[in-house]
Amino acid sequence: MTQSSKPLPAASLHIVLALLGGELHGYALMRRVGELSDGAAKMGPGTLYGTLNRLVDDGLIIETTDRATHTDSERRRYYELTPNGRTVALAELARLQTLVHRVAAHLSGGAPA
Amino acid sequence: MNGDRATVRVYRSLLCLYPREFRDEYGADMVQLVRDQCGDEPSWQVGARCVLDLAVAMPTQHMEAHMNRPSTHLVPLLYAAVAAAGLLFAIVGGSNITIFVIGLCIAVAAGTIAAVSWKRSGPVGAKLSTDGWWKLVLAGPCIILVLIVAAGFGVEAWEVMMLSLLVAFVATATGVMLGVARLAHRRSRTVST
Repeated sequence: MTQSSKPLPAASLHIVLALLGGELHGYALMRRVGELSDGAAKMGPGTLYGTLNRLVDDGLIIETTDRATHTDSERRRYYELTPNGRTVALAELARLQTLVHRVAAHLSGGAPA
Repeated sequence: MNGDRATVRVYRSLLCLYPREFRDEYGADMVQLVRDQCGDEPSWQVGARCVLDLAVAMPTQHMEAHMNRPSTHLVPLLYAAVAAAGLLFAIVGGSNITIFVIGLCIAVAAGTIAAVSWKRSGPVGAKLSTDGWWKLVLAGPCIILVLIVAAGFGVEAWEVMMLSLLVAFVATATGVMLGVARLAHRRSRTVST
């Protein structure tokens, strides 16, 4: 189980943050990660599914089995955050916000008047 | 469109570079993802990214697969069989002090390794394949038969004979142990159901 106190690796972080909006399948997840990072984070299939595999093993995300509710013509696997995964994702978000606030405060305080 | 198909086809064939477990689990999804990407981006761009991704992700997956692979129970059983064969070797050649010492050394060394590896891998589980146990049991007598026939034809390569005899003992002892493991596994499964 991944500890919330330990920062997630970059690929895992992007994925859990992308899944905060709800369940997604692989390609939609990849696109969402691209949108959130303004195209800076581009994952290939191996990185994406390797990371998904690790996150499933860590109990942060699960595959959703209720595929009948989806309208896709092809069978796709969807992923969503577990309650623990959501907690970790929100903790990571808070950590990043704190970091940004501190750096911004430091820069504004240190800047010449 | 042809470029898209070619990219997907090439990527599908490159999937064989990933560990089998990973490929079986996610291969179809990965190909689907590349197909989706080809619909939105130029295929050469998708292909180039996939190759880079493969170079980075593939070694990681192999390392993870290796680390997550369950320890096999065959190793301690094999060493136990070697130990049993060594003991038998020592008993059979008891009148010759050299053979006795060699057999005893093999038995002690293999027995120690068997005990250590057994502790590390735990009791016999369902992962152990015991299907061919009877072939190993039969292999020993077959080898001995060949040795007897060879001796009948006047072959006197003492070292080769002794080595073959040891191999025969190891094969039979391994077969017996696998048979016992199979029986124990069947019995435990019957009890649990």
